[in-house]
Amino acid sequence: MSHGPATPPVAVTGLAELAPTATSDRTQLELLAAVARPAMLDAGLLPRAVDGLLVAPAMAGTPLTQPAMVAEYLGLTPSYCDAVDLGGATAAGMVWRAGAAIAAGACRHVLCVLAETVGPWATPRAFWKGLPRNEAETIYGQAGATSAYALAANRHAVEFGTTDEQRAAVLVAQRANAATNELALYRDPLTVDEVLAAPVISSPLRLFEIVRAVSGAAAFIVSSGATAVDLRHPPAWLRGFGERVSHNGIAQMDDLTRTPVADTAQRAMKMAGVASDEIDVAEVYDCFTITVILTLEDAGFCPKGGGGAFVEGADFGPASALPVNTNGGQLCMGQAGIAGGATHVLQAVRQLRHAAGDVQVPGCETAFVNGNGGLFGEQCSLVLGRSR
Amino acid sequence: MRRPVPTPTSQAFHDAASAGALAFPRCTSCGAWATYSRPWCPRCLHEPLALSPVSGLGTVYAVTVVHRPPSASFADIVPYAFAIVDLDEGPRTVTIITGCDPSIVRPGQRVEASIDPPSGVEAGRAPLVFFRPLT
Repeated sequence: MSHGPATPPVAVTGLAELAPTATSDRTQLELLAAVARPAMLDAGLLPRAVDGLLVAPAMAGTPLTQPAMVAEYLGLTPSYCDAVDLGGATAAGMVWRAGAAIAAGACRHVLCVLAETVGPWATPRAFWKGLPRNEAETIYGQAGATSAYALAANRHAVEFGTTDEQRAAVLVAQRANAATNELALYRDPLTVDEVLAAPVISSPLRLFEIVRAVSGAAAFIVSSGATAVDLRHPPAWLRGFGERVSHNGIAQMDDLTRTPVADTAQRAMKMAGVASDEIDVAEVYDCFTITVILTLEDAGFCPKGGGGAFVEGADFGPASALPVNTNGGQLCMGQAGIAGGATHVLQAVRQLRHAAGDVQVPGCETAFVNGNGGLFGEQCSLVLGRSR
Repeated sequence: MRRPVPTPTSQAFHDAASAGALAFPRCTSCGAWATYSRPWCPRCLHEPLALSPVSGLGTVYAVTVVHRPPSASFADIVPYAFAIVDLDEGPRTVTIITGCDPSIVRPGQRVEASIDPPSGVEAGRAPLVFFRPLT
């Protein structure tokens, strides 16, 4: 019997997620509040019992002292309070940070809350002048993250023969999983041909392969093991994690077909004492179709370079050999800024609670979660379990 | 397109490009290339980095043709070939491949630097370093 990393053990005990919308008339704080309350109710905790808080920066601008601002608004007076910024890997990174704070004795219940408002209350994004990445990369017309992931798709095609049809298959399989997800923005079935008929944005990536920016919010609570067992739902235990920040600009990534997931997933699984073939469900960051292919390869679910063949015609559903992104992922939910990456953590917890409804993986015991930030440069892998 | 605004650390790189003498920051102690200007070597801490001349010849590592412009300043140049180029001497840089149909650019293709504007230093405005197919 292997054990997770933290002593005492920690678990995700409460969760809530708002249905993403194209735009919202609510402020950043209002969205955070709208999701924090149901997360505390889900765990069965009042604000006075929540003594830890982790917040994320909003892509639409974040002021100084944001953690205290959020704590006050939510009625918390935490003994552990911080902001985490790992881009799309933020939510996954929050899970083990909360666990480490609990293990250090700083707190017992950490509320992790993330939101993004798109619409009238969005704030102009702040950035430093004189950034090397802007001077050396963005100025040459890098179309946001899309061009960087497109470059990776280009290399994967050149080195391994991965086709447009294979990338499209990722989206087709995830759409099938989203069919009954009431939170998802996109639930209609798609065919490979329909994906390929969409306009090319940054070759080879087409419109549907690119996550859509939306308004939304997600929250979860990480609790000490001693208290987790007395809460309302079966705890989702943190059994292993691995994190790596490798680069920021895309020219700093040595090999566009090999991500730091090879390192982070291996360490997470080793810590948990599981092999990739013992994983019952994989909820992996999916900003683009190519991200899923690279992550599945680097996490060891298929051979390096075999990701295209692995996903071609694949079923990612609950009865498949490896269920992937069982709620449709961000490609179907939409990406609410940094909050978008929380959907993979939350869906893994739903699976481990055996509360995932139509997409429940039978007998789900062990889940793999991967968060991916920036241009592959921020990675955090987790192994969560129904038992410790 | 906008042009780079040099910082105190990157000024020398842009001045060299403006003079038509492309050079990239490299550690004179351990030999590591830095892709962009920094005050000291991120591998061995040696200070400062020096600019090491390059031939301007390189090979396309990866390319994407951008069809939807990321901002208004790119609206009149789409579609364009946004690429990563590995210079023969070692450093890697991000660029646009010009002087050809963007759809024909492939990884492995040989290219040469094309500094725009080709000469002349304008105060506060550095040149862009494009690449074009080697003929």
